[in-house]
Amino acid sequence: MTEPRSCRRATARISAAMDGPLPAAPRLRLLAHLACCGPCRRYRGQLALLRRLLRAGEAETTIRLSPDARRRLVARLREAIERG
Amino acid sequence: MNARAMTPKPGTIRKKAPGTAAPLDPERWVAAHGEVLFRYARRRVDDDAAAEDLVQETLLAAWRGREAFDGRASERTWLVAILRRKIVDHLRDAAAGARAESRLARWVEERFTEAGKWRQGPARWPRDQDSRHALGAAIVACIERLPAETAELFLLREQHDVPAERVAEQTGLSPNALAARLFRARTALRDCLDRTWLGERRR
Repeated sequence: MTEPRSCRRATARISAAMDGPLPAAPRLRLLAHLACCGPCRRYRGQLALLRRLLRAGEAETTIRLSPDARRRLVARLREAIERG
Repeated sequence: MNARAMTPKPGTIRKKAPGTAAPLDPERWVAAHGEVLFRYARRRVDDDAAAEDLVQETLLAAWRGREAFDGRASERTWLVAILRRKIVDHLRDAAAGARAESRLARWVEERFTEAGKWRQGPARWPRDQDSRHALGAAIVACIERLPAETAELFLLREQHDVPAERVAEQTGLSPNALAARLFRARTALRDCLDRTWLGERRR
């Protein structure tokens, strides 16, 4: 391989390929990289899994106030109220 | 769930504020309105911490201005109105969002060496049912850590399957800028799951 083994570039291409087809040359370079790079294959598989789960509605994206945040709020309010 | 219960608990301040009808109990306030206010704020600002600060400022401002509350609107409506003004002030500091995004960009570059190799590659993810079950909640928590606008772009694309061209169009981002933001969001979300969902089981 003449091109340096860049996982940084490969991951950006993996991401781009999820949004539309890559041009031929980058696509071939990505495939060549994936053929010999386990971590980047795993990265690609995990991003695909996340997309599947999100589209299947398995991650309910409701925003919650954490118990810690709740405690902080109560404490600060109390302080303010005690000061008047 | 007795969010609205007024039963005094140990440690609860029951001192009636002069001139107010209902006892101002911070615990009750946070229980009754904290969630709604936080969710409202979090949809419009960069991150959890900023949203929490806004809710806090809102409740403090409400406490200080309690004399002005005439009871014609509901307590909730009154609080949301205050929160809305706080959010406007916050968003006026548009630089805040840009800063969050550039922090994220720097963080992503730090995942790789100068030569572009992984410093620490993605962890292996378990496939058993129990782990997978917890993954959904972990994903939600990790998405919330992204800069607000980036999280929004990410969800449009990944969850709602809006084509990238359409997302770019709607947001006025160039295709390249959008690609960079989505790449960062995906990389950060994946990495966050290694740290939170897998936690100490990593490797």
